[in-house]
Amino acid sequence: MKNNPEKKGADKMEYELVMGLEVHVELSTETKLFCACSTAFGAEPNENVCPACCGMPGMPPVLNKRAVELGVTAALLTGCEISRTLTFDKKNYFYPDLPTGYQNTQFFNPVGRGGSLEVETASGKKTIRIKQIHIEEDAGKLVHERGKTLVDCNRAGVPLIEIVSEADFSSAEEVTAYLERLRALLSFANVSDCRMQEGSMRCDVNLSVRPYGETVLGTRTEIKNMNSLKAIARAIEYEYGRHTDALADKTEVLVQETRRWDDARGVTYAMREKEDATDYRYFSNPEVLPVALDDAWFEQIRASVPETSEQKKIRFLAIGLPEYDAAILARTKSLADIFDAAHAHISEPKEISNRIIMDLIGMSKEAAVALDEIKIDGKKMARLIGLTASGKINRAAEKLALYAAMAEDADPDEFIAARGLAMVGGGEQLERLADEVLAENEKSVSEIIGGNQKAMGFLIGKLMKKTEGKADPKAAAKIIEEKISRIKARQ
Amino acid sequence: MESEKYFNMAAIRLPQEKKAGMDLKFNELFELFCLLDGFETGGAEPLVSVLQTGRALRADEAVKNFTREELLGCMTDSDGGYIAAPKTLG
Amino acid sequence: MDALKFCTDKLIMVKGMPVCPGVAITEGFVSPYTAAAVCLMTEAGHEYAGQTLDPCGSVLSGECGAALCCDVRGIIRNEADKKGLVYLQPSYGTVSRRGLVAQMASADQTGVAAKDAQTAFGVLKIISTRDDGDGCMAPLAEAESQSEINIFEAEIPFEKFLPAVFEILYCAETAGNVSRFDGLKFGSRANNTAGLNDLYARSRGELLCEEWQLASAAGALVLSKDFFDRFYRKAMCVRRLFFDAVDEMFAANKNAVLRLPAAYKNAHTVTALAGVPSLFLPGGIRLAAPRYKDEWLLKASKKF
Repeated sequence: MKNNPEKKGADKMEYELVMGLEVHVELSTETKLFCACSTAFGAEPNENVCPACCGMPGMPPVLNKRAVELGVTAALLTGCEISRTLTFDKKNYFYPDLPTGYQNTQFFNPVGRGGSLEVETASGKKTIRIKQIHIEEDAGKLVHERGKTLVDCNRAGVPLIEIVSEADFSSAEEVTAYLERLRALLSFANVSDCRMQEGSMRCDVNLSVRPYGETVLGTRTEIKNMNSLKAIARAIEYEYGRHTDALADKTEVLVQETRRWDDARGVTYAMREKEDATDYRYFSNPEVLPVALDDAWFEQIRASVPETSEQKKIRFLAIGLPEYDAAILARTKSLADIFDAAHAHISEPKEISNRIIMDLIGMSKEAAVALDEIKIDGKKMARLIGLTASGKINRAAEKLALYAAMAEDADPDEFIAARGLAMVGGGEQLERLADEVLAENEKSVSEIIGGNQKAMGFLIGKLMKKTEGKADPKAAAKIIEEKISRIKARQ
Repeated sequence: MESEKYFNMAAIRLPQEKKAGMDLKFNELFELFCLLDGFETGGAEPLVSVLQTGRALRADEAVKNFTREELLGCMTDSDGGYIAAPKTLG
Repeated sequence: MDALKFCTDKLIMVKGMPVCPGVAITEGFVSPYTAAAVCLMTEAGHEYAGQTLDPCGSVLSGECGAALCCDVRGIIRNEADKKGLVYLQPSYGTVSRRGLVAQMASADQTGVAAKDAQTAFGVLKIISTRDDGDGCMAPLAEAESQSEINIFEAEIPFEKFLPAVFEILYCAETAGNVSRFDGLKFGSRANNTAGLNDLYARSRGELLCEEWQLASAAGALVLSKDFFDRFYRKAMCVRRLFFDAVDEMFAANKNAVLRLPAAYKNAHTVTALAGVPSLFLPGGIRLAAPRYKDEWLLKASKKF
């Protein structure tokens, strides 16, 4: 790669990057798109294979319902317009990783069109337009060994979505931010686990450069084979350099082509002519009847799309939670779910979020339960909050019952009764016990009247002890104070 | 109509002695196709299948009806669990 | 129906038997599974008598009482007619295509060659069972009580254009379905090939049957960018018009089946393009019925 720092500096100011992405994401289905073979990762070669997906004749395709639903979900999450009839088309070409000689894809009628994703980088926020999302089959895997090409059909037929963006990217940071955002969105909604290292998310970059201010696009190259976000950033930087050097020095002629990134050597190298040259002879697959996404099914899918973190936070703020609480709850699905469950039974949002943030998070550690797995029955939690509010139990007791509800799904009332945690709140019993305490501790009473407030705590403690800790500490304090005031007044 | 371009597209290289005969048959077919040039379809939409819109969808449950051995046993060259081909070009 | 022996033609897969016998590129490829229709027949107590390259000959000689065939190009049924046999092509989608080597998938259907209509329909009754392994299925109409089925004659709509439409669609779809026969996976390969592209091109050039070679190349043409709209898309539109016209024709002739002219060479295009069932009886009698009313054909056949 040419290394003329001065030149390079000048180049960088003269040329802008224009990029579009094609992201392939493996859907989290149990089975393949058109046959019931398992999609489980890590099987022996050709273990998850049947006559259909290894190219044998005679097996008609039968469409995976869940794949359709996840495809529609992805389109909904990215704000696409959804196609209400789903069709599949054959893309025809010969290659060993394509057992039937065609790939089932959606050429004429993608499931989603015209969506967008907002990304945030150091330079600010930007909206990346999504041209389309379509569902298609993955190809098999090739291994080159011993002078042969070895084909593993495990991956052939696995359902994918391809997310095609417009050429809206102008930096590697934007590309990284977009991919991270996509991963967060799709994994949150269980559409895909989006793991680049495992190949469940793959990204090809279409890149060109042009002088700032120019509207015509430069020669485009497609870069493939980047297996991590870091590799993508490095590949973009390399390719930008290669393009700008070629334009500035005119020693290399840029050709529209597909190039492969070699991470070890840190360069791209030409693969084959860009596929525009191949005529794929697309036509509708007559064996896959169009599937109508009727209102009932569409609503069912829409309703099952999990709310995003952002949407949750907005909703929590609207309910009346402060920013800090809303942010914490929205960030972790398990906590947000607990909030919603309890809020359905008691309209005290701050009280609920206090319990979650101040009590439950710590309790999950104690119980060795992962935070994203913590669960508590919303109705039970609401009940406990109510009991405390009405003075039936104190906070100490509430916390014990809360823990029991989380760890063992214990019923609050049963638990409180069994442990005798009902508060000795007020009324006659507390009065009587308070009188006892004062009678048993005359010296302390005199000290308080004489001006030493320190003994107040001592007496309150004694009263709490008499109630076996079940009194409301505030009520205990109040009653002691009142009684002593009256004694003082009489003197 | 030069048929070789289309035989190539279909990954078919005919033995020399068959080329002429097949080219003839290919062109006979092409002439037949051209008959359609004389038909006005008006605004008719394409028909992909004689069946109506389907809901033939499959539940997402894995089924394994064939062992690896059964299927690889059908292959010409199944090398160590893979389907083997001569090395690709490029 | 009494237990009978039945054969299958070369396009039907049977476990342990050669796939597409007689086609060089599949030589050595033994099927790992059995077609749905065959399973249904054996489960119903009928004996499988093996594959045949001459279904009509096998029925005629008594080797079998019925032969299951896939006759989308109409060759077998024309032969049956000449040999005094009966051929039944059921409505599209009423018999599972699982195990049928696909060619024109939108028209492929398992048909029955037999000595008489009764036998053919007996077989249809068994093999027309819903199968989850085929997503393109529709049920036969319920048996009806009325016994009088009339016969009418009419001009075939768009008759002049049907062969072109059929060939365009047959070639396009078959091209897409036989691309899997590439010499790489199963069956036979060309010898001494130099690299992958050579393996494909020479295996398919030397070992693929002529019919499929022609269909593959012509199919590539009609689907290519230059000709897609002019041929393929147009053929699909004409098919739509034909499909509707056939339905209208049957609607105008209630409780009746169509008798095709004896000289009409392209009867197979009618069944293929409209998906309607047809019955060929000895002596040039060709009947077609509305979709799913296959049973009417049996009733009508009693008139002959």
